[in-house]
Amino acid sequence: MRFAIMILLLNFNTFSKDREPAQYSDQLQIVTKSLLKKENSKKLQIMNEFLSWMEDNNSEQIKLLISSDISDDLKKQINENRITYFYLKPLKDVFLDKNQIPTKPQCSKLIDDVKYNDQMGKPEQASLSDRGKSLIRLLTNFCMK
Amino acid sequence: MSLVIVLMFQIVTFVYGGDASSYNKCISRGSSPLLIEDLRANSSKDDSFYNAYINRFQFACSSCSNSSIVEMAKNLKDTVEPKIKRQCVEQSMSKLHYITNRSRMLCSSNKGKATFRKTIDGKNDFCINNEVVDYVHWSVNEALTCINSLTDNPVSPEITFMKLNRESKFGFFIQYWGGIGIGQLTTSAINGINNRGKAIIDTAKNSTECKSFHELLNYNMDYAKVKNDKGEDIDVVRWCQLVNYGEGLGRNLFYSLALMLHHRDNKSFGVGTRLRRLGINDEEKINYFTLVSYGRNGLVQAAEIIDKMTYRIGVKKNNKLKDNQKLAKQIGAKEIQAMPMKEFIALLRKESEYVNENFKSLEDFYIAHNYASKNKAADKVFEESICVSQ
Repeated sequence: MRFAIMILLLNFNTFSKDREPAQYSDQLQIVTKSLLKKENSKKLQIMNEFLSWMEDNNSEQIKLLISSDISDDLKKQINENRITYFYLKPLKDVFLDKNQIPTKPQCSKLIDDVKYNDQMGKPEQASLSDRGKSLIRLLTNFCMK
Repeated sequence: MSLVIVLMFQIVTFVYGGDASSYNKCISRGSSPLLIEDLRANSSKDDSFYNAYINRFQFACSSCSNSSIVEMAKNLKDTVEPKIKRQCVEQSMSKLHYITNRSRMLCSSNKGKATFRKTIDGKNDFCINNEVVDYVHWSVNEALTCINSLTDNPVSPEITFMKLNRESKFGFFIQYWGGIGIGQLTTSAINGINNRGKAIIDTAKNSTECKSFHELLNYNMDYAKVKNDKGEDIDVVRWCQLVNYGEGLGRNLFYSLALMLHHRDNKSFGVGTRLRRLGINDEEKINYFTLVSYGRNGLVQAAEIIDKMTYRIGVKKNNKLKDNQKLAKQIGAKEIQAMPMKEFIALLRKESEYVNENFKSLEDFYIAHNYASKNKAADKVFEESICVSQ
């Protein structure tokens, strides 16, 4: 399984300005499934690899944002990716960089933060966005089960 | 209480040139007397926030009991100490009839039964007179004084005016599913303060500058079960608690401004905390960056924009740093710190739709009230703080 994820991630990592950027939302779903029924050490490994991959992609993609030769649509997609990464950055900074899995109460707070930021600037009756739901599923599989 | 109302009326009649009719005249296009009638009826009810307002007038009176009415009016003016100018609140409220796509909601108390009114055009809207403007003006400045007593870095009156002008034109009774009351608050924002920003409430309860808010902050808010757009059950704050004449207005203002402190100063995720780590400690710029977090994706959006802006500006300063992102961001942060405000805001407006919308509304306000011509409005924002007394 790990090999399959690595292949998939490496595949997307060859992104250039001529290709569509890897959609983090697609990767979220794959990684979320891969976390199920894994030992903690394995979960940490998967998440570290996933966040590193996102970070590497961001480093490449941010350069495109300051160039004038890519379309607004592509810039929008890159921005969407970056937002998804920044939702997970607190998890990386506080826990993954120390090779730690959050406790359930800590995990619950991370999930609450996702919900909170996802709801900001939206009407009362708006349900969670697909991104918000995917992030919550990822965090649930990572540190609530 | 009724004696106080009569006295207030006499004072304001004097302040407004002894002409009662000019004080009562509608300054907005709306003509329905419903709002004013309800506000007056409410003055006989026991509401802690409205009573604080009335007591301020009583103080003004007792401090000048042996003086002439001129002294009385002067003392009244001095006790209010406005940050946001009354004239601007009045001008903003005078355009309330332009908000045509949102309901008006009248509640007499936190648990009161709401009266709804849909406005299709200005004709059917509430009359706003000087009595209403005076109360809203006092309320906004009272909330600013309270919130700024809780921090060493004041919440900017300029941003507060810009935000309230954009959100509701100071119409504390404006309501729709997108936001409630003067600050267009949502349940999510309320919960953010009640859960993670509770320290702000606790500190306010011990601040003498927040005395007008003590009782309303002790009130346990009530929630209603509703269905969201996917048919799922969600808990929504009952709206009257955020729009009623007294505590509803006070609570809405307190939470709207407290949200700024919560998003800016929180030690683990605050926008200001993040910026100071990067070496950006210009309080005005920190406040504008924090404004980003009121929009879509909240604090996450603010973090993303800070990252992108520092990199973009760093590379612009030295193109060779394109592949050295860490250094590019450090240089970018130094540039932002040193950058003139006008240039900084122009860049931030390009990055944040929410900030841009706020400035656009302020420019429209300047144009509508002849503070600036159409082509000068964007510059005028930085020339002087038109709506804030120094």
